[in-house]
Amino acid sequence: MITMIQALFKVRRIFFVGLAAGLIMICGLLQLPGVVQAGKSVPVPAGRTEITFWHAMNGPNEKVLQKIVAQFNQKQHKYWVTPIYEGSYGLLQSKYTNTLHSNVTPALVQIDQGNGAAMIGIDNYVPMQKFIDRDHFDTGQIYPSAIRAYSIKGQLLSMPFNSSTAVLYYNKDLFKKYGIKPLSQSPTYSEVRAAAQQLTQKSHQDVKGITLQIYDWLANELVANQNVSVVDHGNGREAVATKSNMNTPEMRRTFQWVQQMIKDGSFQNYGTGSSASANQMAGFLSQKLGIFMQSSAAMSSINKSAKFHYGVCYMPHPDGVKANGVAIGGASLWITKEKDKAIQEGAWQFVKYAASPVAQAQWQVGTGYIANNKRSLQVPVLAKAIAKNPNLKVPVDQLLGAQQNAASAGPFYANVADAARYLQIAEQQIYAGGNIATALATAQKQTNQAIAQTNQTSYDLLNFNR
Amino acid sequence: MTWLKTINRYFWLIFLAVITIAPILLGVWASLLPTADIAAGNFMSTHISLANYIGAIQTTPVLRYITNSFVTSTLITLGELVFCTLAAYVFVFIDFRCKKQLFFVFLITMMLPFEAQIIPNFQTIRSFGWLNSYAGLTIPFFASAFGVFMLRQAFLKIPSELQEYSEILGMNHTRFLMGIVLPYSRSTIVTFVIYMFLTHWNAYLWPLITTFTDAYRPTQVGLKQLQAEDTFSNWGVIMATAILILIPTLIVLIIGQRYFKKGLNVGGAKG
Repeated sequence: MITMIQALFKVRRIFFVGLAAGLIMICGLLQLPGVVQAGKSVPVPAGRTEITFWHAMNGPNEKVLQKIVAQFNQKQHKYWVTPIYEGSYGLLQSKYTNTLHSNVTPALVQIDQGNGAAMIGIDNYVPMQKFIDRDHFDTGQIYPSAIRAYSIKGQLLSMPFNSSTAVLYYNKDLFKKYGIKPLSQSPTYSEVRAAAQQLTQKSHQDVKGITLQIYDWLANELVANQNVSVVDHGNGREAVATKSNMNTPEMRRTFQWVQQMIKDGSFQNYGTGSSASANQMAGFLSQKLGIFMQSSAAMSSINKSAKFHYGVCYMPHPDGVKANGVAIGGASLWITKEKDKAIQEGAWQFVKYAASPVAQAQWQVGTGYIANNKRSLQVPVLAKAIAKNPNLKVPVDQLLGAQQNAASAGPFYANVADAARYLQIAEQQIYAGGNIATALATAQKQTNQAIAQTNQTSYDLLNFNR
Repeated sequence: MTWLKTINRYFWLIFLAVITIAPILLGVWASLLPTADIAAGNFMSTHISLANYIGAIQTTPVLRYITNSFVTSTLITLGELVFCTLAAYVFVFIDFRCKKQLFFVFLITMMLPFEAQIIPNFQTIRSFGWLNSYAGLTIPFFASAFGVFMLRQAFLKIPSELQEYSEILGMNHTRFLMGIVLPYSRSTIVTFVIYMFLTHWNAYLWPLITTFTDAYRPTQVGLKQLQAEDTFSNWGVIMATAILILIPTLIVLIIGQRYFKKGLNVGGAKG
């Protein structure tokens, strides 16, 4: 027994070494968090003020954004913008909210259109109007639709950066192959339905005619096109929204159209979520799907990967109803209030550059988002790209042709995420053959409850009339 | 009849193996194809190349992600090893009042899911200014009830005679722990280390909410970052990255397998 103890005692000195190393490392971590935190991926050049910029752009769009940032960093020698991708809009928004007044709070943040009201509630931004008034920045160069989307009571809160509209994409080659007339610039429901049906029948089910992803934004765009706002009080822009307009005759009409196409057998349901959007894109690119609706921001990817001619047109509208035009989607740039004046100033300088004709022109060419600046159309890089691919102009024309009213300004309220969830559940029921009015009524009731609850607890925060 | 039995056995083994391995094989295969072919559903493509791997290493921070995961997983494993060993040692070899009750309280924390601890932990890390740092990624995991429980069970198997002999030899607690307890429980400790390393290699939720730059993002969060939201993902490169991330875990498993088997075979005191 004693020999065994001695034997055991000798072996595995490695445990001593390992434990000692571990203890040293742990002590190091506890003592020196500051040292551990150091080590940024791109070092900030000496003498420059760092402007951290959180954004939600990835894939090819992130590359273009990095290019614009690099141009700004090269153009001047006072500030250094560090762009950091933080995930989807929703994730970015919650990360921002949860890390206010911490060691990672960014100076500039890209927040999607739907979360604008939440930003008012957080109240940690410097209204863009303050800098605009001080510098006499000409907002006339930006499209009025974009300005209106991010303004409350005539005050621009954040600078529109990446704007998009929903558009309808279709496979021109398949239309030609099966002898179907190309869609008009602003198609009607019956026109789209007929094309989808012909495509499915003439290809003997080889190609599915159409899909409409279960995605609240697309449904909202389809009703905005019929001049219906998503919430009351002028889409939440005259006063804090109190009621949702989900169960309207216009919304029901849109889903009747969808149900008719499901009955025709020409509709492919890809479901909901990011996998649905990836799958419908894969279906379209592999020529198994003829028509789908998506943000114009998807155009650069389609342009790169489609091995066929594709057409782009406006979002469809019901027969006999004048198309109202759709609301702007995408996101804008917000300057954080808690940062030093020098940092805020740097953020504003970058915002000005990002909104400039040159930057916006490159942005549209590289991404498919709309260049917000009117003068971008004269910038050679965009002018040439449009001459080569006229599809790039369609979302811009759709935006310019839109009526200027509450519906096309887009919704502004705090419960966008709740409404999205309830509407998408209703859409799933409707796609499965459920009763449209019942499903929408339930969704509207739940959304109204969520809005009431939010207003009860944080009306003072959200109330921009104070 | 034995050969029929063998055939039968092998048939089922191969069948189950194929089902288990198929997703990984599919992933490896997809990582060799160009993205255009994957997007078009053309899985029988012949355009096989390592281009995706080169693309992953050149265009994505995958190596940085792997380094971060390696650093955090190693630190956490070391921390767990130190703190859980010490706590388990106290629970087994030192007598004090309310020992059983205290251990019970320890076990109760196992019932509290990590998701419920996230908010207080996040607030603490935030107020320390540890967001986006290795300290914030690792220190909340330095002690776990599961680790203490697992090591305590192993230490309980050590015959009490050994402790008596060590006392006769005049060993203090440190020497007894280092010289006898740890070597004796070697296979449990190796299993524990591998388990902890793999768990934290695959960590997702905590790093997702506490890391904000690529300088600290670990692999699983990094992999999600590569997926495009609104636009079109480069699936070939994403698959290649996923396979690259798999390699370190495979190495750990292969090295540890020997001990895994031993750990299963060891039973009772071997006098």
